[in-house]
Amino acid sequence: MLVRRVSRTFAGRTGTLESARSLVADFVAEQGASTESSEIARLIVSELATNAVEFAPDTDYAVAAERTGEAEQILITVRSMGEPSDVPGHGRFPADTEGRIATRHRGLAIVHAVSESVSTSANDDGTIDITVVLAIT
Amino acid sequence: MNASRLSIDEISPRELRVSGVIDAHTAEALETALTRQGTDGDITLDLRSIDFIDSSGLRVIVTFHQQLSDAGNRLVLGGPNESVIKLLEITGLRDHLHLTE
Repeated sequence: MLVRRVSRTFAGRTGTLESARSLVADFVAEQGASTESSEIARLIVSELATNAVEFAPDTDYAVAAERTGEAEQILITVRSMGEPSDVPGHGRFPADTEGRIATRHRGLAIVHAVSESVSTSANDDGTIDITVVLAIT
Repeated sequence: MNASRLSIDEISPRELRVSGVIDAHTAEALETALTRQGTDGDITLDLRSIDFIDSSGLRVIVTFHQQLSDAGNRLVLGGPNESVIKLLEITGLRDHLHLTE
């Protein structure tokens, strides 16, 4: 039987990003989606999971993907489970200045660009979910 | 494939070939390698063996592109594959960076 949902919790370190990406990209491929859809899912997870790790380093984050009952869609959710930090990863890069190429916040812009929708929810337990609807082909 | 790996080889003076994955886990290694090259002259970054890159990798590339531009030189991105080009288009960076086949 085709698995309709996968989820896993990862340690809040950048070294887990590859496993998080593969979890969802492989799931999307198993749904019969195109390689392009699988690679877009890989990119979405990379951006969201990176945000989660930078948001709360050393705190676990969770990744889930679900084939919905709707047409050709997959929901991808990344849950941040810690308190926000000073985001040292972002601080390494210079602030944007006029006339220069902006380097910050491109991650979420990428997610918006390749997905149907992006929603954020703050949960009662303090966790934050970002859920993306991916249309697969 | 151990996709968490990033290999950076200096294939000729001021020409680096990067293979593997550029993400938040490996971006610092690329940043270090580029910084070591300095900004005195153009640099070519051969991307044809890249398996995956996200905004963390792009951020390093854009930052160094700007440093070289400030010094009057260029960062040339060689052989970007389809997925790299697509990411550059999504982010609106394709027209800002120097690409070559």
